[in-house]
Amino acid sequence: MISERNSRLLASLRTALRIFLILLSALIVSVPFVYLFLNSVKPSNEFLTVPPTIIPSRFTLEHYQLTFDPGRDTLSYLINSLVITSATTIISVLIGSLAAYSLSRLKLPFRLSTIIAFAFLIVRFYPKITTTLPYYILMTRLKLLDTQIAVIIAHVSLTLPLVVWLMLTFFDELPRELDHSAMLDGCGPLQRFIRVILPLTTPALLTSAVLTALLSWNEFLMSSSIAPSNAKTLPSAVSSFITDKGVQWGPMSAMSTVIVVPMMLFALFAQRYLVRGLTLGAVKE
Amino acid sequence: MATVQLLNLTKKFKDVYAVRDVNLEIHDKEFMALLGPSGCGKTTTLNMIAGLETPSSGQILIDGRSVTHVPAAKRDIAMVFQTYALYPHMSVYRNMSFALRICKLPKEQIDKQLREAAQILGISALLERYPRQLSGGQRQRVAVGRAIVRDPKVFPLDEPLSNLDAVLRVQMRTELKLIFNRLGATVAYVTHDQAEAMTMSDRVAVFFNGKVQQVDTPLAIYHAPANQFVAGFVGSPPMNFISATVSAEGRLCLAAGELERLPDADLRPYSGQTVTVGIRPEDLQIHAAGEDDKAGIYGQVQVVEQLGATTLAYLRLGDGLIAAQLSASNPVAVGQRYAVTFPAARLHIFKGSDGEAIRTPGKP
Repeated sequence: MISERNSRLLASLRTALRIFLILLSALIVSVPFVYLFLNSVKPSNEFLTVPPTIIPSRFTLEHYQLTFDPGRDTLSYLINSLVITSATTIISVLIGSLAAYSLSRLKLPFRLSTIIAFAFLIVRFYPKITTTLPYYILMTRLKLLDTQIAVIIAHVSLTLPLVVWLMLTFFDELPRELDHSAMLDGCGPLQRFIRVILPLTTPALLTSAVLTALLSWNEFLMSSSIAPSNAKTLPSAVSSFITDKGVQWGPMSAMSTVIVVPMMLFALFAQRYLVRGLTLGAVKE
Repeated sequence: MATVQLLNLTKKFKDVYAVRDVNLEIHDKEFMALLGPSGCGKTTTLNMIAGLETPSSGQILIDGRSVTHVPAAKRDIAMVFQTYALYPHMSVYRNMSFALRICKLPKEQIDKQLREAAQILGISALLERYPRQLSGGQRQRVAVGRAIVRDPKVFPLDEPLSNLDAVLRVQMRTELKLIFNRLGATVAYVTHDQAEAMTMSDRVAVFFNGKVQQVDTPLAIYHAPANQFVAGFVGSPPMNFISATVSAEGRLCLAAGELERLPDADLRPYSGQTVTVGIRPEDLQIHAAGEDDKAGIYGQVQVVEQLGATTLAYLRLGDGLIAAQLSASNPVAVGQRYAVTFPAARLHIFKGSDGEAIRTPGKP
């Protein structure tokens, strides 16, 4: 028989183990970012020392100055990224949620709803690189190459399946009686969607928006290939620090920090909704 | 208010008929119950009246005008759902005023209509609350309020009391009946609870297998069921059924013995055939059987249920059990053998082939 003292000891051991695992996970996630930030404020001569310094001997903002140097166009890349991410998010969430609602509620013959829903998913099956070249040719023909619109189209095509599938799950879980009730109350399909269904799926909508924004903001492959200069986004701009004369670690880290911070603030702000959105419907109320 | 007519209404889901050739008329200001077990087609019929399902064939007429292909929103119908379907993100006030706001009625009129409806239902104090802050009974009242505030032509109600506990259900049953009487409303009330159908409605339509089996007043359905299904479904405890054959002289031969010829029913056309004899538990009487009793029907009591005012005794008769509803003062002992008697006039007789009634006793 385990005495009371022993069982209490076991319980505190378990708590300690839990705390240790949480700390370890937090460390694994945050170390790269902390290291990135430290690198962005580290003097240039400390990058190549052996052994490498982790904590800089002094803090400097020289890399940030260099990054935002008027000759580097970082500000216009930042604006490109902001415009593309905002437009992608708005378009994707708008079209995606409407499509998901239709798929969830329409009774199409021959299981068409399922087929269409899976067609959206197919886009996520193959590696992005396989469509990069077709996109490049398409955008050249449409005379859209190196424009924000080209990147927005590419990003919407990448993020739309995510929004459709996420929202589909939520709409499927909403009782049909609510639609029926709104129908009998005199609402048309769009009114039903806007006045009854959307307010009930706000957390899911915000979750989709956050995930879409993250995907679009961080996307590198498509943007770098179809928007090499005028519509260049921040992630592709980072790669320009890899030159034939070597890698400019300092400015690269500074720009990377600039990329990470807005999304981190955004995620922190949306975290409450994000968690609720990801767990909504998991438990029946 | 309005009349509702269903003409040869049929609904098929793939190859399965959910509703088949239903003809039904709900009169103006009538409270009609659509009664039947799960999957009998009553809710599909109601949904077709409301416009939530499109009929495969047939017609729906409201006030003589066909609405078969008129969208739900334009039928001027307010439904009460089994799950209430209140909008969770709106207060009671906004829930009840939603349809009126969609119609773009003036604010003052909405407020006036809504407060009147709230007063009828006794929910004036709840108007600012949200559905999650209400009890089951209150939600139910709000759902009804949301329907009556619109003053529609027809009220389809889909098992509105089935989510309430037993006590509240009985209480709400009376309240709903009072409210709809007061409004003079045309109501189509779907339920699987025969007590609700019997107590609330002016007429009952009994559904089974997608078809209407019988439409009549509750008492007529109870005393003169059209077939064996209706006889067995309406009434609690259900009617007892005993298999019998008809002799050449038109007498009923039970396993336990032969009965006298029934004075008001000539069974000779069925001679040699198997029929089902039905008898309501309250029409059975039992007497303690002496050892030397040979004639008559005997059964051993297996279970006794004391209900307070009455006692239910279940007796083994051949392979099955039959229920007898007795006065509580009648002492019954489990295991004891009893003689079972009943007035021949109270017998129901159904065809063995399709269960159609050959003879019913009619009202006592």
